[in-house]
Amino acid sequence: MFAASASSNRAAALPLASLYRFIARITVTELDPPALGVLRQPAIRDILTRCDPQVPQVLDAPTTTAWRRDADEAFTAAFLLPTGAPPRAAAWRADGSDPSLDHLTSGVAHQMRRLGLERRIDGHAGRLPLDHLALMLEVAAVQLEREPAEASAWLGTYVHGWAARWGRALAERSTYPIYRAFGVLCASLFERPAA
Amino acid sequence: MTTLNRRDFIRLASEIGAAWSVAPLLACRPSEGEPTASIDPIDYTRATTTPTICFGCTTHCGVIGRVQDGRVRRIEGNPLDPNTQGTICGKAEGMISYTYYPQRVLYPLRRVGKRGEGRWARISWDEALDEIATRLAALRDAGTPEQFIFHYGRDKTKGFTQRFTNAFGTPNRLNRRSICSSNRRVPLMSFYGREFEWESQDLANTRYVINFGANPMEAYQGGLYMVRRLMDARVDQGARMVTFEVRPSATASISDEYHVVRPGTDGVIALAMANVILEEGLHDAEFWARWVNVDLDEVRAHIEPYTPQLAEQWSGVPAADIRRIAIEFAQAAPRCCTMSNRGSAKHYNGVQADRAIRMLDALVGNVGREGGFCLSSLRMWKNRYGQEGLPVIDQPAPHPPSLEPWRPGTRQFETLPPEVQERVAAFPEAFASKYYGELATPSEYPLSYHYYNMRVGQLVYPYIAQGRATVGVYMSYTLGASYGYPEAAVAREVLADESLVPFHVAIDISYSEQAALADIILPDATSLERWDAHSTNNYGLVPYTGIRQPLHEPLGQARPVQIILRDLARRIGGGMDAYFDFEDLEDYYREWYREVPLDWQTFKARGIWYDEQRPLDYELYEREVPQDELEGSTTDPDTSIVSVERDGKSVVVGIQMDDRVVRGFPTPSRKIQVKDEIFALAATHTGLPLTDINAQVLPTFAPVPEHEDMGPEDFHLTTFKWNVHTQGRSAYWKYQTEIVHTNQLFIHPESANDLGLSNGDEVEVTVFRPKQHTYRAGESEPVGRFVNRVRLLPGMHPRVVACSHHAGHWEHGSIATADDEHVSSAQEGMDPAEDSPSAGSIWWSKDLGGVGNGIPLNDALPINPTPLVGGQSWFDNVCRIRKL
Repeated sequence: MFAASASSNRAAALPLASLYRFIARITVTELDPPALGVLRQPAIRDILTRCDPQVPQVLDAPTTTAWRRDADEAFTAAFLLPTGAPPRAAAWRADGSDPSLDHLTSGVAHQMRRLGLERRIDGHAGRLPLDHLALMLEVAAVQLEREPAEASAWLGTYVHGWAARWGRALAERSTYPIYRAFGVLCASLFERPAA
Repeated sequence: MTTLNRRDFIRLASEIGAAWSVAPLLACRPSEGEPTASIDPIDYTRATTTPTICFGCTTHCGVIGRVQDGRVRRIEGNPLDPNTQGTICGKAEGMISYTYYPQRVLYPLRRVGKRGEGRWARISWDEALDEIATRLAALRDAGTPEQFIFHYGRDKTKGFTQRFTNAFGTPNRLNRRSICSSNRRVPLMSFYGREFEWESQDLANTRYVINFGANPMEAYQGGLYMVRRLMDARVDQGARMVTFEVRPSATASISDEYHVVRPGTDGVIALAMANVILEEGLHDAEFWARWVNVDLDEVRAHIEPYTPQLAEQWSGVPAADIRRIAIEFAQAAPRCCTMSNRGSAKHYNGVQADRAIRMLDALVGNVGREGGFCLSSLRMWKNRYGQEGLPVIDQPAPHPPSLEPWRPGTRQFETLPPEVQERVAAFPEAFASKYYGELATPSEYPLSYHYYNMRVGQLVYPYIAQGRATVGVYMSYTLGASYGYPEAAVAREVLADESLVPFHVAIDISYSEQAALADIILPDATSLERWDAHSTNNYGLVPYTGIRQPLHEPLGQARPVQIILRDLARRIGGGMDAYFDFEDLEDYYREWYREVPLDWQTFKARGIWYDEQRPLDYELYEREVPQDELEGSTTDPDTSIVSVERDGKSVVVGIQMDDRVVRGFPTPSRKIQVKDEIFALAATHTGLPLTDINAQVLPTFAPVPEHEDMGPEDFHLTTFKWNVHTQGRSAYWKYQTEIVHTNQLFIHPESANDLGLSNGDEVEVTVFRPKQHTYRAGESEPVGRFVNRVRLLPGMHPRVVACSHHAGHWEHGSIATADDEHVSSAQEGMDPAEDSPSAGSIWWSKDLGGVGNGIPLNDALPINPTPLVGGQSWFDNVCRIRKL
């Protein structure tokens, strides 16, 4: 719902692109010092704390080896294990007309080509599947930077709905406050606008 | 759940934008790819077409993958595959399901909690490989490489993993053949030789098939190849098929005749049929005299007691039908053949049952004949029997040396328990020369490794628990023992015990019950992402080969097992690296196929090669040995076997028949070995009484011991597979599991009525141990119990209950577990399915009011290896049923 209005406003579009990229980053790599630096910004911390009151316990704790170990485990549990909430449309989207997700993944690939993007195969995440939320948010971010009016349609078709459902599952299944907070955040951010 | 509003997001976005001004592209990078207007799911003008080999089941059909935008969109049949002739089944689409499964393991993981606790952290490949290699190198450095156990479930690398274990120096490359098919392979190899562990009936030209419990319509290695030809033969030529089964399988259902048979009695039916054929004089006396190693009169006397009336008493099949079918079969000869598989073989008496069935073919002389029971080259081509004139298809050199057997006096021998040392020390050379310790070659089961290494997988975990072998590093590769082996809880207990298994690495594509008990999980590339060599027997009777090739790069950080093992070998060093001196897998496979007379690009584009001019594999045994092979040959005056000297060894090349030297069969006698002393020899050296059915040199019947005194309250419990599933491996393949996701207990309506049961009633099933010469035989305590719901099914044997063994997973993710736990934030008025995590796509979930994912029953089935061979007697179970 937010994307629809923000994307028509260029001033709001660029920060929103950063938000999408940050969410993408949260889903593909473990928490690291740059990400923590962002999360510890007061306003961000406040909002996340509203989403999950235990967030300060994590953000305020010294980043010891044990802290890192817990964070790494939490990332794996949240995004990589079946018992978590993998950020993949295939897990949460159930469009009866597209059971194989051929339409969805074809659309993602098309947009990436159109915007001059291709999947990375290096790096921590390796080659992400085409239905991964991070790819869709990268597309949205680039759209917001170049053609903001297109972004809401993209999000509406490819992200809204299933990503909100994923967010709710993440909020319920993760035992880590930061990921629970991001689940709450995404559940709101990606809720399909009311008709 | 808290909800955020527009103001929150503006603030959040602004703060992140400010704090994180440089936003690196983590998932994407700039590309100069050509944009297209099309977003069609499949655009055939744009999709790439790559032939490969299916991995949906054990049949391995030639297929074509259509790839668009780096994703496989379609799997179609490859019309160049002479075995499938372009046909595929629904399991091929399963490859798409498992490749893009959203809960697939895509990164190396290391456990961070207790083993089995389910707590993991992602690690880099370097970290994972360094840790594993350090542990493996320590075993080599200590001079105990055999403490590395490589245990696979579905390894289709055609020997690549053995390259690793041989180079490492461990014989413990274990498999699950005993779980699957060793009981039906041993009779074939005993009859026809090592080269023919699987037959290739000429179904396209047959007129009559007797099927003893095989189920090619649903689950059979080569089933698709067979069904296609069989259906054609039935339609075009009026071929008839008679099936003996305990339940109305899909194959039974399409047969011309389906006879309900009591489990474990196929052998007595086959012997009675042989008796009738001899009695009626319908046998092929000339063929038998020429090609069978035992006098017909000896066999006639041996089988005389096995009358159709006796067979009826045991099996329940009317004697008149047995007689009629035997006569019809023989009258169709040579255009007739038998078919058998687990239904006949997976019993205490199953090896002998299959020998009896195989004897029917020899008796009517259909072996190798048009429309008959044929044999065709089956393994990778190394100029073996039946492969004469074919290009050699072999792994690139250098090959690691073979390992030396564990003979008395060797270090490894001294590590064996005293009673095992005593047994092995007395072994004849036939077994002693193949002995490598109790995990690889359990000494009580010499026929599990006499022909080749089939192992006795279900005893691996009890043997580890008993201290028969020491484990340093245990590596499971695509293995589901912790779920799918009999008494699977034993596997779980052993794997959970760090004093027994100090380090466990699991290589797999899914988070399985086995992987859940690992210390490190390595993500394997799927069959759509990797290379493999392929060859199997062709029911079209022309040897062929194919190549599995990647349709795209692996997702995430998954890697093909060949690359994993290469990189481990390089880290371990100590000479291992010399056998893994390649950078690019495609180069490696190009070298593997260097002798195929097609340029590499053409071979890749076709996916399949065979010699279109090669004569069909009829009557290989009558083919004359070329004169140049006979130079310097000698002929044994007693046996007529012809040998030549090669590299200082005597090599058999054929047998003198009339005035010709022909190939014969690749058996010790060069004939079909209806009589085989190997069974008595094995019994003698393992302490199995010579009176036991498994010790008999001629095909024989005796009832399954625990079936002899079954009471009126006892039932046979049998398991089975569905046409859309591949054992327990496919439970997380969405398309498959949408079709079959549970496993009710099938029971005959009258039997159900006797127990006061109606459709859907809940029952407790108690399963008992076997009774004779097998693992924990005779113990009175039940093996286990399970609770299930019954489904009434006419056509079942009235004393049999049947339950498929693929269901009830607790790992493998939400499809397999039918986990769709409702999210508590459901909004008022919202459809519960729409607001479930999967939006209702796992509609069979109990959370959504569905039937759920069935029950795991393998814990309650006894470990029950058949004497000498070790094949699991899956279908001997006796159970009792109690209504709940």
